[in-house]
Amino acid sequence: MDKNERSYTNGEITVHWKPRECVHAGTCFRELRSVFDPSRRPWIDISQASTDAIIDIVERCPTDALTYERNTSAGAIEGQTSTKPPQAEKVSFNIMRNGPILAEGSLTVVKPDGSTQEIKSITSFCRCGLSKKQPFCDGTHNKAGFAPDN
Amino acid sequence: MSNPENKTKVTAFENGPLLIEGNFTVKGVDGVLLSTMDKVYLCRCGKSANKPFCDGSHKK
Repeated sequence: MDKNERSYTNGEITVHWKPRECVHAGTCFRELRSVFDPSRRPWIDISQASTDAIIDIVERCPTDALTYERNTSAGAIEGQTSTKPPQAEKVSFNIMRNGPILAEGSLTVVKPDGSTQEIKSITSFCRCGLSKKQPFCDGTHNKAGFAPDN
Repeated sequence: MSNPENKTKVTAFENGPLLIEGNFTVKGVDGVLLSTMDKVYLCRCGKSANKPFCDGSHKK
């Protein structure tokens, strides 16, 4: 387990946070800022909304950065992890504000050297030209101040 | 599951754009649908004046 991973529980559910999986789609903090506030530490305060409201957001996280488990009445975890819904055949490419292209769906990437990589459900493509993981995003746009969408 | 023939393909050209081909949509920063075509070129140099689409600025 990544040492940066965190778990938060309200007694009914446990929300797991895996920062390495996050592609900054922003659904969580745009729609439920009281719980998911990137400017706060810790950034998740699970006491600030109902269990159902939190589950709704976690299920709409496009990656496994946010997942949840239902706790048993004893407080132990049942091991029933939420799974993301299967991706439809149609792939959606979403332009992230001042950020990458978020691709959701199954696709094949052909790199400049002709090699290919299969993507099963989600990835993000660099749009600023500065990523060192081309053609994928590595977050460099944040440091570089890439801001074409303001 | 998807069959390989109509699987969406993303091609990153050397010092050029991303070519996307297949069954897909492109949505802008506000969630607005920008393209339902089956082939688009998207900017990956940051310089296009027609973002998110390529306008050839990477060559300049």
